[in-house]
Amino acid sequence: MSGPRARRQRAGLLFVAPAVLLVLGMFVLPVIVTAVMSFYDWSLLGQRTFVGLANYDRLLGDTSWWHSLGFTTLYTAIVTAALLVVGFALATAVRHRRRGVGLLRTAFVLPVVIGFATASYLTLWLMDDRIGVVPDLLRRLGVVDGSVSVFSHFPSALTVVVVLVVWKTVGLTMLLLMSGMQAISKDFYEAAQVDGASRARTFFSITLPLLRPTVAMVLVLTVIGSYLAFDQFFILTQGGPDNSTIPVVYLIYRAGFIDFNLGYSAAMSIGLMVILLILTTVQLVVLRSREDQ
Amino acid sequence: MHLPRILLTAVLLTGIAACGNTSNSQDETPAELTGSGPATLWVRAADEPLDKALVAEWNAKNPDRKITMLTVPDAQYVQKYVQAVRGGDAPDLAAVDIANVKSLTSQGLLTDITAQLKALPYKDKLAPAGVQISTVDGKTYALPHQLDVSMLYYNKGLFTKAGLDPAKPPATLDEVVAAARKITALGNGTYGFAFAGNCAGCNAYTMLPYIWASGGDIMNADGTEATLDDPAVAAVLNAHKTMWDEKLMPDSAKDDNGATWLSSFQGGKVGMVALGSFAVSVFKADPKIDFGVTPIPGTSGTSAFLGGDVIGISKGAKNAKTAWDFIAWSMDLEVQKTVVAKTGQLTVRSDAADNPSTQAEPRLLAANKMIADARVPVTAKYNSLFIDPTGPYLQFIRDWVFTGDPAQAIDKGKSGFSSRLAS
Repeated sequence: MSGPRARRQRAGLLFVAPAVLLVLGMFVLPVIVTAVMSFYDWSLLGQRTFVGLANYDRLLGDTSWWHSLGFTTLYTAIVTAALLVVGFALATAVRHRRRGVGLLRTAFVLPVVIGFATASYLTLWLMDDRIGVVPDLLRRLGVVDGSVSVFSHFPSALTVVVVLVVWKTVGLTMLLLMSGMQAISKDFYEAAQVDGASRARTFFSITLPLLRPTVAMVLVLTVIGSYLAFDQFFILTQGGPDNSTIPVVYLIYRAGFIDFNLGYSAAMSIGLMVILLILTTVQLVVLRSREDQ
Repeated sequence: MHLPRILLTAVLLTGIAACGNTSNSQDETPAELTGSGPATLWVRAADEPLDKALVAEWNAKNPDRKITMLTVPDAQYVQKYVQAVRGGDAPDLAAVDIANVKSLTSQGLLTDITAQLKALPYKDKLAPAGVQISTVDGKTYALPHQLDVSMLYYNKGLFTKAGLDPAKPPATLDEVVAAARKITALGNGTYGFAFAGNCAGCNAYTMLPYIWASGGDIMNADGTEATLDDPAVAAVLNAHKTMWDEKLMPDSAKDDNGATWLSSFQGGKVGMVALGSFAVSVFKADPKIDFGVTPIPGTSGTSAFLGGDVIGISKGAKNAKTAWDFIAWSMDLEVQKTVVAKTGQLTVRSDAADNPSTQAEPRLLAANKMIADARVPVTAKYNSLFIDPTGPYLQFIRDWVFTGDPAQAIDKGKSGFSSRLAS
């Protein structure tokens, strides 16, 4: 059990130890604590009593939970589709080295470093009826007459949030897709050119299939990110109009920090985590089987 | 091997005995407040200015027991405070939102100051609703500190133009609707009435008084159940629905989340709006608008919501004596008439209401007098039900007034209220 090999193994363990500790402390432990909490009637203000599965029972019959889950799914579908389409367009535009391409890439990625809260407040003021640039512009162009309150109608409220999210995160999607595209060997494209394939044909028969692993990764990341959306809704729509834009995390926050009901809040968190685990597993399985084909 | 168990038993017994002692002494004669060192005070951000003035004055007079003030964001106050008390790191003094004091008293986080209150010669002159909401089972834990009342503002200029007597503001809900019709008839973008139709807190503060003034309530006496089919609720919401349907209020009322609550009236095109007394100092600075104030009317009388803060001493405060001395000093007649009134605030004592500042601004005097009849909703779930923008109260109002479906509003409202009350 000694000798250089064992020593190397011990050294290796030592090197991963900090990472393991970090994951244990920052992820595994909190998940366990949350799971335990979900079995309690646990008030933020103090008292707790064990209630078994009561919180989960309530969750199944809670219409606002199901509404919220439906809305979050709709939002995720729209955002994911928009991010993929816009991300592809931008990645195609900046994939080759050309004059000024560096500037464009930087411009597209720049919003990624802004916090969601900051970006949301920025949007809130841009859209403000009295002092915002956008309503003023719309009025001057004659598109609308009178007051503009984008957050009073479900379609316009959701559109503003989706545009904000795409603007803020598409840079990352673009980067991932671009590096995926650049990893595709030039030989394929040359062969296609020799065969006389059109641009569209090249895209659908070469670029897209070879990008599948990258697209899958983008999908997984976007879906998880969208299901966890909170700041933009909390700040921009406040769940309105008429409670039509309440994402699941907003409900979790509301139960914990407005209703002071940590137990129920924890049960919803665990519920959402299970849903995300299933969704991610399905996506990864689909990816893998396709990759093997 | 037995030693630890014996020790444990001994510790437990001592603990029980200690508990017995304190609870006994609290039942009979409250413990003397001790600790006269410098003290700490927590205030919520919205109400910082008054306490800044009070603390500055106190510190100038008491250099060896100064008070250090910490401002906490409104929305985080209760949870931060609870954590601080449990962590043994509580401030000596806590000035807390009146509507949230139940969250603290229900957890036993404040010191019983019943005896101190009884010894005050002016105890009957303190804002009654503020004392009542801070009292549990006959024991008082906090006292009124900074007050605001909701009332009806009306534009005297528009009243005159519409042929109404500006000296006789509406005294019933029907008169409000009738006046709104006359003012709207002036045309030229003038509206008789406005309210912030998409703002939960605004409507807690200003629509509940219409309901109380109509002889009913939206919740039962102990705040455990909603009473949405109370005729008083229907009378008030129907009046609002009528004014919305007849376009006696601007379209923007539906979307107002509070951002244009004040400015809509300040623009001079709106006849009446219910707001807090805080708006007096905002509007009086504007020479364009000549306004009056009157108590919020219902079908049978008038009412008001008592807003603002109460102040209490934390359980286990190290400088409880200083804390109480500060509270008592802040309620002193002279301090109320000078320091408090000068900042444009209402006084917590009715006998201090008439002072140089309110004489210069009679509308504040009128507001100050409304405190006597003002109320606070009794519920430990105030934030969940009435303040949360996704809460059941706002949805109930919107379904009734804007969607125009009272039956659906009551139906959805009932399940909404009971679901949040169950939390």
